[in-house]
Amino acid sequence: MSRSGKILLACVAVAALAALPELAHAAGALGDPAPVPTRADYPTVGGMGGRPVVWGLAQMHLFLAAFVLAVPIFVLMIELAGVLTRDPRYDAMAHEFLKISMAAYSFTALTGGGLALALFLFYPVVMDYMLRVFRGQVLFYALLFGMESVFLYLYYYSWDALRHGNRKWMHLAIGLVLNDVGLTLMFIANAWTTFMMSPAGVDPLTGAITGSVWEATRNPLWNPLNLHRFLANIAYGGAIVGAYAAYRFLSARTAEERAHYDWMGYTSNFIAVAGFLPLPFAGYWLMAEIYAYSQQMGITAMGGILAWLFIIQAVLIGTILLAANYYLWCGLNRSEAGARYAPYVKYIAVVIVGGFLVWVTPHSLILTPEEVRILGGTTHKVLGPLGIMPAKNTAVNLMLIFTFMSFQMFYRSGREPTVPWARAGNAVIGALYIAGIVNIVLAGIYGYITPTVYKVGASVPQVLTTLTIIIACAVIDGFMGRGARRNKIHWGRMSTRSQYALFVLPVAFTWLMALMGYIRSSVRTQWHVYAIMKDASPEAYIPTIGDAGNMITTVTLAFMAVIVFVFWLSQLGATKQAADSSEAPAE
Amino acid sequence: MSRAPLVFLVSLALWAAYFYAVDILIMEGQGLPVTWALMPAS
Amino acid sequence: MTFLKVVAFSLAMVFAFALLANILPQVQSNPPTEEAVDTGSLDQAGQIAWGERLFTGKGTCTLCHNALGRAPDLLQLDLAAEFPSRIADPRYAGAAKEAEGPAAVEAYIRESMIAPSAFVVAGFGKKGTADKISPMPKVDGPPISLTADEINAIVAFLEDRAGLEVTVPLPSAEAVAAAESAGDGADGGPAETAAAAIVKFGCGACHDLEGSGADVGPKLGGIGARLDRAALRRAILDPNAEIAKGFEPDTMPQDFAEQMRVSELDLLVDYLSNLPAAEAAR
Repeated sequence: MSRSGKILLACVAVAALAALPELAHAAGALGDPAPVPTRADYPTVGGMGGRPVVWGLAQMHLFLAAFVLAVPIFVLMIELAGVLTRDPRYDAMAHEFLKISMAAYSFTALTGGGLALALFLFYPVVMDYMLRVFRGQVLFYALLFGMESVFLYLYYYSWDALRHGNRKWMHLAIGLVLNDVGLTLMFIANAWTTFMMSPAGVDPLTGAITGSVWEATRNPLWNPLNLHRFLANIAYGGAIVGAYAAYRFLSARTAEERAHYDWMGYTSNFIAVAGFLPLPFAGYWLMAEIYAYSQQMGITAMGGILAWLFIIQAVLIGTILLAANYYLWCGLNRSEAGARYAPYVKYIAVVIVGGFLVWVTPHSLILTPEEVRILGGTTHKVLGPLGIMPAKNTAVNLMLIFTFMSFQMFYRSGREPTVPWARAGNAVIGALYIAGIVNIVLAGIYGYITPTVYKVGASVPQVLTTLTIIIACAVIDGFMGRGARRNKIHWGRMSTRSQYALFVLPVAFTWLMALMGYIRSSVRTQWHVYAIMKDASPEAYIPTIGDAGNMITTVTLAFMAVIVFVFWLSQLGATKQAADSSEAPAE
Repeated sequence: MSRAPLVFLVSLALWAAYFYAVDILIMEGQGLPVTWALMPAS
Repeated sequence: MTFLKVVAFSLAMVFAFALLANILPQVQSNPPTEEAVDTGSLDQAGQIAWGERLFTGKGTCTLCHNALGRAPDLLQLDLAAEFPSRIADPRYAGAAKEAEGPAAVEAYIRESMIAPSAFVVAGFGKKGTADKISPMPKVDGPPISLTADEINAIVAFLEDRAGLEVTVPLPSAEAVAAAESAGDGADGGPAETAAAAIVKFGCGACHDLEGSGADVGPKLGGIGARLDRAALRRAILDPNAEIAKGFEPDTMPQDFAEQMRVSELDLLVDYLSNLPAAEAAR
C-alpha cells in the first residue's frame, strides 16, 4: 500500500475513534425499565442450561483474546528496541513472536462469535437489555474488529517489505494503530462486563436508561478492570510465548538454536514478570473500587463465601513467582559473574517461600467441632493472625521486591560497571532496599493495630514502597551500566529443569485467570445486572469451588490444546517437503 | 572505597525520610491516623 | 518424547490445581429464597422469629454484622445498653431524638436500616469520611429490597434481643402475595402503590396530589425537605400533633392509624419524601 494510502487509512481510523461519542448518544429505547426475567425466559438445549456453555465459551474467548492482544504490545516494544539498539536479533525475535501467534486470531474470533450466539440463545432477556443500554456501541465494536484484522494482516505481512529506514517507522506506526484498536476493543468489552457489576447511566431502581452510552461505559469498575486486564494480558502473553521458547529449546538440535531459544525464553520470562509485578496493585485498586461501590459485593468476594478462592489464588501466584524466580536463578549460571551471585539465591528463596506460606495461610481453618474445641477457637492462636490482610500485603510486597532482586542480579551479572561512582551507587541501592523493606514491615504492623476498616489503608504505602524500589533501582542500574564492560553470557547454558519452570508459568496463569473470572462473575451473586436485573434462571447460584475448579480445568485443557495447535501450525508453515523424484516433470 | 559506607548511611537516612513522608501523605490523604497517639486500640 | 513429557507435566499441574479446588470446603451459595410467610397468621413470637430468619437470610445482615469487625456485631453486643447509648451520643441527631423509650429505639433501628448514614457509630464509617458516611446499603432498596413488613420483623427481632417491648405492629391480616388482587385496596387487600393508597384513603380530596387540585389541606410539594420520615408518619397518623400554618385542627381524619396498613403507610411516606416541589404544576 502506498504511503498516502496508509495515511488515509490512519485518518479513517482516527475519525472512527473520534466518532465514538456520536454513536454513544444514538437514540435508543430510553425510559423503559429493565425487563424482569422469569424462570421461563431461559431456554435449554437438550436439557442443558446456558451457564456452562456461556462460561466455557467466554473463558476460552478471554484466554485467546488476552493472548492476541498481548502479543502485539510486546512485539511492538521489542521491534522498537531493535530499531533503537540497531541489533537485528530483536527484530527477528519480534517477528517470530508475531508469527507464532497468528493462527490464534481466528480462534479468538470463532470463540467470540460462538459466545455471542450462545448469549443470544440462552440469555435473550439479558441481551435485550444490554443491547438497549449499549446500543450503537456494538456496531462500533464490529467495525473495530474489521480494523483489527486489517492492521494485523498489514503488520504481519509487511514486516519484510517495510524493513529499513523510513519504512520501518511506517511499520511501527501500523503496529501502534493495531495496538490502539486492540486496546479499544478490550475497553469496550470491559465496559459491558463491568456494567453488569456496577451499573451506571441507568435508574438504580428500575434500570431505565437515563444516561448516554459513555456513562454506562464509564461505570465505577471500568478503569480498574481496564488496567488490571491490560497488565495481566502482557504477563499472560509473555508466559505463553515463553512456553513456546522452552519447548523449542528442549527440542533444539544445534547450539545456535539452543542459544536463540534460551534468549527468547529469558525475554519471555522478563515480559511475564514485568507485566506481573504491578498486577497486585491493579488488583488492589479493583477490589478497593468494588468495596467502594458496594460493601456487600466486596465482602462477598473477600470475606464471605468466595474467601477460600483467594487462598487458591495465593497458591497459584506463589507457584508463578517461585517458577519465575527459579528460572532466573538457573539463568545466573549463564555467566561467571552470575555464578558469583548464586550463593545469595538461598536468601531470596527463603523470602519467596516464606512469603508464599504466609500468603497461603487462611484466617479461618477447616475444622471439625471437636478440633475447634481443642484449638479453643476457629483460628490458630499464632498462625491465625497471618490470615488477615496486613500479613498478606506485607508478604506479597516482599515477594515482589525479592523477585525484582533476582532480575537485578541477572541484569548486573552481565555488566561490569566502569563508572567511578559504582560503589557509591551500590551503597545507595543497598540503603534503598533496607529502608524500603523496613518500611513495608512497619506498615504491615500498623495494619495490625488499627481497626478493620483502616487495615487495608496501610497497603498503599507498601505498594508505593515496592514501586519506588523497582523504579529507582532500574534507573540507578541503567545509569551505572553506561559504558559497562559486558560479561559474556553463554546463552544456551541452561538445564532442562529450568525450561520446565517456563511451562509452569502459562499453565498456572491460565488456571489463575479462569479462577479470577469465576470470582468476578460470582460477586454479582444472583444478579445479571447488579441490583437491577435479577437472575431468575435455575443456575442463579454460585457453584462450589470444586465445580468451578472442574470447569476451569476443562477450559484450561482445551486452551492448552488450541495453543499447541497454534504453535504447531506456525512451524508447519515453515516446513517444506523435499521434492519427490517420482513427480519429476515428464520429458 | 572509603566513601561507600558514608554514602550508605546518608542515603539510608534520606530514603527513610522519603518513605516516612510518603507514608504520612498517603495515610492523611485517606483520612487515617498517623501518629501513634491517635492510634485507636484495636 | 519431549512433547509427551511436557504434556504430562502440564497435565499434572492442572490436575493438582483441580484437586486443591476440590479438597477445600465446598460451599454452594444459593440466591436467597423468597420465604412465603403467611403474614396474616403471625403472632409476635412468630414475627420475631421471622425477623431472626431475615437477619441471617434475605437481609444479609450477618455478612457484615459479625465478629470480623467490619460492622457492630449485633448478635454479640448488649443491645439493651447499646441502643440507648447510641441515641444519647452527642453526634446523634436523628429520628430517635423525637421519641422516648422503646419508641425511640424502634425509630433508631429503623433509621439505621433505611438511612444508614444518618448516624455512623464511631470507627465504622467509610475510610476517610470521619464516620460521616456509612458503608451499609439501604435495606429497602436493591440489592436487598426488604419490604416494610420484613423491616418491621427485623426491628421486632432486635427489640426483643435488647429486652425491650416490641413496638412494631404485626403485619396485615391479608397475605401479602395475593397475586389476583388489583393491588388498589378496593377488594380489601393492601394498596400496592402510593397512587393506589392515595385513591384508597382519599388524600386527593383535600391535598393537591396526583392532579386533584384540592386545596383544603396544605400543599405537599417538596414536603420531604421540610419533614423527615418520622414526622411524615406522625402527620398522617396523628394529624393534630402539628398543624400547618393557616389551617385548622380536626380537619384531617384521625383514624388512619386504625385504617392504614404499615405497608401502605410506608408507601405514602416514601411517596411524600420524594415529592418534588413543583408537584402542583402537574
